[in-house]
Amino acid sequence: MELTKDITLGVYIPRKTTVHQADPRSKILLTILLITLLFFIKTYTAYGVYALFALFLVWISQIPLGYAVKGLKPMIPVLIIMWIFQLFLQKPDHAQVIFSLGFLEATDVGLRMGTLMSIRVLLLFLITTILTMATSMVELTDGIEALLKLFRKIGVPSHELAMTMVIALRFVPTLAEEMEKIVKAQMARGVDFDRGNFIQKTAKVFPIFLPLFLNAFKRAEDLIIAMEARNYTGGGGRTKMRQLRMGPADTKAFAAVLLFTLILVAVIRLFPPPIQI
Amino acid sequence: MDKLIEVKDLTFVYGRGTKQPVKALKNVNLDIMRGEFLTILGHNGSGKSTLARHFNGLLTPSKGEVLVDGISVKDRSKLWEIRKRVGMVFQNPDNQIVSTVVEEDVAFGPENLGIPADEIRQRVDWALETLNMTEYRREEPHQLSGGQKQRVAIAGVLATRPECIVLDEPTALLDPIGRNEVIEAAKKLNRDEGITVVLITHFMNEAIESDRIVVMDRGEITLSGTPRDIFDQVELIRELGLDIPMATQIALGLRQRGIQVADHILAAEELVNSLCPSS
Amino acid sequence: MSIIVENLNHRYKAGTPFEKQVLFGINLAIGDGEFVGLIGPTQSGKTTLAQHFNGLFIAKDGKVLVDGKNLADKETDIVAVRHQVGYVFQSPEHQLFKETVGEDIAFGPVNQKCSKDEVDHRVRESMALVGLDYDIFYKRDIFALSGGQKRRAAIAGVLAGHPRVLVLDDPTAGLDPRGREEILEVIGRLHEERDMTIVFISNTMEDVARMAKRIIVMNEGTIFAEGATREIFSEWEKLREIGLGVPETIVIMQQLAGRGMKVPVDTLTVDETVEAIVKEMTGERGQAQWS
Repeated sequence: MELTKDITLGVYIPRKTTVHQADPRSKILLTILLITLLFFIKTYTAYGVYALFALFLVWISQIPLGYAVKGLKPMIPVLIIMWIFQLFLQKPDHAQVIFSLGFLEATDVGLRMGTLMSIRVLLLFLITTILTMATSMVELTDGIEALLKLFRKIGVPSHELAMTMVIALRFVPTLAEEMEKIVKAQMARGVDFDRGNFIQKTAKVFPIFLPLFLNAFKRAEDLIIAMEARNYTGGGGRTKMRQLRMGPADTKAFAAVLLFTLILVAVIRLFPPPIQI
Repeated sequence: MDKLIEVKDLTFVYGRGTKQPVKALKNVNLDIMRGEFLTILGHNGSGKSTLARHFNGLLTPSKGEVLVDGISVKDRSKLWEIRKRVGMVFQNPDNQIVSTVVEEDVAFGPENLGIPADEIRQRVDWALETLNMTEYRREEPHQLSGGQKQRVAIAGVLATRPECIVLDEPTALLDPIGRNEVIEAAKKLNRDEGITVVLITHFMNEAIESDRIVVMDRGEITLSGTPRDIFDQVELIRELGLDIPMATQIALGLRQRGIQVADHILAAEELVNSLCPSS
Repeated sequence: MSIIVENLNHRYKAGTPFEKQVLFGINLAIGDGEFVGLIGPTQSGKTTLAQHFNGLFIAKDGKVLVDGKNLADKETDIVAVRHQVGYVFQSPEHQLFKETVGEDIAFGPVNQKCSKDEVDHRVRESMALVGLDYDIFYKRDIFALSGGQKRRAAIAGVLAGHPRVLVLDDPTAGLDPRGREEILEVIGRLHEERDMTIVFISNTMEDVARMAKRIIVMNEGTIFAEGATREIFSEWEKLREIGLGVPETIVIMQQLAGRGMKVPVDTLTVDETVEAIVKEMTGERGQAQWS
């Protein structure tokens, strides 16, 4: 019984690659750019090119592909439901019906939309996973805080947001371990999490949350006191030990993404979608 | 030695104004000297943590006064000054570490004080070095052992350069190795860095090398003195629900059986020397 | 009820970049009615091993037999095994999840589909075993308990499943001397009066020395040593090497022996130590068991 094994969210894999060494601000900005690009893609060819680039990133950042993809598993049912919805509900005038189930009609546009959307979500997940697996939490939050500072003037509490994030991420492994312990303690007292139908299984999950939340509150309380004892009073007057610096890795990263963007735009131009969606 | 912390007639009531207020401290008087290693003993609920939390103004006296370096903890505008002088380490290492990287966590305190980046760097390196944690500086805290986590927490306090460190049951959740690491670290800070240490514990063997022991029971200080004075009062200590160091128990047993043993035995070494003086 | 482990290997986070083998070829047997201490430095694999005893981990490489039944077999009723091999977690008070003491203790028997009378009977019995008065504590809110009481309630919850074997993971950690004494007394009683097989994982060597008849020492995922409590602790140098302490009685005797005093170096309690020193110093030399 190991619950923590399958959580890939927020897992950092320490390596010394260009992707790892780049400044978190660059990585966050480039990730946003790459995600934005995803929404302009409407053909399988372009997605193919995009996927190749994503795999290239996985390769140069030395992330085990199998492990990166593992985190996708729990999303598959959601994707299937989404795909079915698209298949039957997309009915613009020019669409052609492929087949029908009673009053439900599947269209070619629906099929294409559903498939493209699923690919988009998968790639989006993969790109974000590369970012989180190749960037430590501290760097990530430093980067976010630095970028949010640009919005400080319009009242975005950049330090507080970043601090909240650091702490939340800091407690992910602790709470995951704790949850594992609670689940095991209940298994040890005769709860069988594997047996029963969906509803019965869900009902068994509820008693886990009471002790989990209670413990989380206790931890939060302790942490607040500990932070207060260390003179924490919010962002004002605070300094930071780590200073962010751009370097050659960042130049490379920007160059690579820029080049990829140009190629992608060319591909999109050269291979327009066969049907209008 | 002059007084660093003065506790005068301190009374503290939890849940004041509620139906069931609990008097956790009753007229406590205590002076803590600069450079001293003081241990506070007492079973759970005896008020030792409540007392300690007044030392850096986490709690404010219901009645009486607590002065740190002459500053009253009642003056909420001076809390900053008080907490710069008195750092605190808590029982559960998992609940006091803020960051996901060891050295970042150690930097948290100095960052709060607004110290320039390169000086923070120096202080962090120095604090980690002092606690023998340099090799773990880039690790994730949750991968460390309990003893190591507690040393990170102590380094985090040390990096703010306090005059006094209060350790609130820092070893309660640790294994024997971890316990030893933490206690040795505390002794080192007291001895080499001249930091005043207040150790709260219920492990008696951790208390025997301190300068002074204060025993608490039901919100009051019932005993105060050197470790020898304290553990001579075997019956009283037992009544208070506390342990007696094993060597002391054996010495007592031997004396009852008519064997000559030196007075005030606390540690194994002392018992052995008394029974079998080395040539 | 016996527990047999054959050639057990275990990999943590198997199939991820963080995979790490934590148990290496473990072989051991725990007989019916034994009181075994399981000690070892942090992360030596004690807890992982012990969680194989009741199928919280199912062996993928190697075998674990409880009462002759292989836990990895499809036919084995793993839920039944978990009731037979009770497991008290470290800081078990953090896993209480019902509102009142009575409800929480009843959780196991209710899962076993016991009749209402049987559930009530078991709750009463378990509460008595851990020294929680039924009338006072049955309806008591969990939050209103002290640390020691919570821990006893948690143990009662496991006992209500009517286990034949009880695995306790560092049951005295974080308690004050009074609370520790209460818990140890309960465990001793379960072993003496109920003939329960006890697996006692602990970091406090004085407790292990006092309670366990046999000790298994783990280090880095392997069994480092195994034997009668006295034998294990008299090899204090080896234990020190892997970073374990020994009871202070042994330290004292060892040093006395080092200075030429003819005393046994394996006394485990204060009384025993006093007795041995008295014997030596008052000249009843010939009767010392080790001679």
